[in-house]
Amino acid sequence: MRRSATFSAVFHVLIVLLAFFGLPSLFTSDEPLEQPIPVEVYAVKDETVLPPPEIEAEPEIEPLEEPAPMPPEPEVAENFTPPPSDAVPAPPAPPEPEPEVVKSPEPAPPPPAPVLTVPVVSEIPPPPPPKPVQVVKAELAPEPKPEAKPEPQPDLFASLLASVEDAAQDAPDLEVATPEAKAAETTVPQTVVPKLSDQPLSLSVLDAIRRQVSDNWSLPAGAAEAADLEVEITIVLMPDGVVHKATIVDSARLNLPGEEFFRSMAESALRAVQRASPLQNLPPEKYAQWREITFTFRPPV
Amino acid sequence: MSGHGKITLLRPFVMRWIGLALAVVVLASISPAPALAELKIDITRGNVEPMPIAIARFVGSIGDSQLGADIAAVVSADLERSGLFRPLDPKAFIQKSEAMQHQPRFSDWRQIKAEALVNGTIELELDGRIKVTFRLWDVFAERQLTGFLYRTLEASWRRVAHKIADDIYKRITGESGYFDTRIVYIAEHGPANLRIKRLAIMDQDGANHRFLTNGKHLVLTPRFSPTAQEVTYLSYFHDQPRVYILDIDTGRQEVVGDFPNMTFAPRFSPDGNRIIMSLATEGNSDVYTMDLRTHEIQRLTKHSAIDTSPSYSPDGERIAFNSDRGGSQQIYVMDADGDNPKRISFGVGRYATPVWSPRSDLIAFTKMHKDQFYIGVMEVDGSRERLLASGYLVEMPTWAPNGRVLSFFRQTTDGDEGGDIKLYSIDLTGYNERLLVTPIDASDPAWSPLIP
Repeated sequence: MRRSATFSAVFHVLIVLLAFFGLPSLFTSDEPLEQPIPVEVYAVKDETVLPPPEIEAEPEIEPLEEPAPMPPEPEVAENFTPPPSDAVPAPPAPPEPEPEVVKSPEPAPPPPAPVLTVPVVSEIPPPPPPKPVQVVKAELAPEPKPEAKPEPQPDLFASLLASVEDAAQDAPDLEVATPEAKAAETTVPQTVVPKLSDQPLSLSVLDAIRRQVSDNWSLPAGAAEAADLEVEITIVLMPDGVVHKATIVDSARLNLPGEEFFRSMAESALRAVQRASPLQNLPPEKYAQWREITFTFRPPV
Repeated sequence: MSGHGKITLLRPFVMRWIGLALAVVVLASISPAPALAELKIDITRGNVEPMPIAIARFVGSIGDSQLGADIAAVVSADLERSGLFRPLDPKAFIQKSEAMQHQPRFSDWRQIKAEALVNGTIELELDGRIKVTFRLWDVFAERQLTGFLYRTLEASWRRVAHKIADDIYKRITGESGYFDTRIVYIAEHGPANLRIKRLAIMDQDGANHRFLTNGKHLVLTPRFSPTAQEVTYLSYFHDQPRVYILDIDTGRQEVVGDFPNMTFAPRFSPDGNRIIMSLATEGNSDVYTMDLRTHEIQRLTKHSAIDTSPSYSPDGERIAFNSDRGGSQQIYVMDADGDNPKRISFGVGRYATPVWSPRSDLIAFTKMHKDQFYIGVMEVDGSRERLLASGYLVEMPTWAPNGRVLSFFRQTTDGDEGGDIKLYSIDLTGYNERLLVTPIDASDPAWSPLIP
């Protein structure tokens, strides 16, 4: 009787929580790549939605230092090592480009500005001072759960998830997810750091890129069969936004006889990308996400 | 008792359920790390801006420095007039022409924001001819796009410059150029009741202008042959309209025939062997073709309405003409043997002078509506009609050989007098309307094909 009451209570709590926080969405839908018409100049933000950040007290950080740094590193390190090795042969060690990125002039909005020091953290184990905490709060705001959770929860999670492993769940994801989940619940800065860079690029960043390339694209006007011409250009960017390499995807088609219009369209697209270099207002901490971009140039009909 | 047992059985199961549910909720609350190796962005908007291009003075042996500057100036003017290029001021060039022996210093040219660079050389040969080479460079990619060598008489330096402009135009835009062409037109002056009309010819940039007739007889509607440098035109000889063929290079004239009641000169077929025209007999005007070698005449339209102003398609399979069989002046398309006439113009107003584009995709026409004249283009099936120019009187569109630019004449109204009549050219997109400079008033332009 007591057990059933316990179970009943637990289920009731669960249902209340679900009702309160909403059903979890299992599929994240793609952001619709619409084209907002820029009417006024606006600064690029790191997240698409940015409520005013609240600063938390320091002491919260200390107790949770230990479990945090270890698991995110393998994940983040994968993301961060390729660019230094590919991009420039000169820099001797991976950490070096990162501080440079930090020192470069940062985009306008003041509250998130200190956030840019955050990517350094992924390479350096000790967590930074309270500034990143702002990030924590801001970032978590759109999420349904975190702030309300008290600390005892992690224990429940640990034990639950241990049993869940037995139930043949997707083990690796959970292992990585667990400390992040714990961190999400308990507002720890350093585990949130990789989360920020794992967030998809905000809509304003995508639009900034699109606008810069569009403004520099001189359409070959009035070309015959303009409607069928679509050119794909792949570019590789340096961390400061300079276009390091730009290639036409369908380059075999360039020299075919009768494809002169495709060639002139492709060359105009290449010129657009080269004129737009260096691309401005790109978040350096999300470099891994915008390092390689494929543009599809489609002339308006 | 049994309840107790059930509960113990249930426990791990229920625990799993709770664990599952919570794990699902936990998982979903974490944004998964996007494993994006590549970001995809669509660019569907651009601007239509002329391309900044630097045309450096052509260098050569001593004594040719003026010629080098002249050639560069003609190329610049041609490209600028097309509306697609913006030649940069030579005073802004950092690297001198002489220094570009092997390869230009691209950083110098990038600094003045040039996207393409043209340089070249001129050499005097032993037999008095000149050898002109040019190279077109892509400044961003730092490589040569195209380059050619021309050998010709020094007196034909303008033609070389036009050919170079054509090469550059074709390499950058993909379309063939139209700079090495000529325009034949009717130059007129005098009061309205005593108008003197002379046949005149000039390069498409206005240079090398000369008169072909002396004005004693009225001349009308010249037309270029697509294959040879020949022009047909209508002239009145003893008050009878007579069609002549004039060879431009030799100046030789030949009479094609006397055609009473003809008002428009004939047009050539694309293979240059036939001419197509409208003849009026007994008050009815119909379309006829005549073989130029055998002088055999074939009648194509057999309708009691007025059928006039025919024009061949570039493949010679179809003919566009003007007819009022539907009640008002409209444009029709029929097969080359006269079958299947089909009306294609359905807008308001009256349509006249259809001219098929050399690119086969469009038909240009003159339109009259509410006391205003228009020049427009429409697709071959009559759809997507667009008006490009308007005026008190605009008429007689003629296509440049690349099918991208049109020329027409416009008469402005000047009170009762009737003002200037001038030639204009306009781009297919409706932009870049330019005045073609002629010594006196001009009308009825005809654009030559590219001169071989």
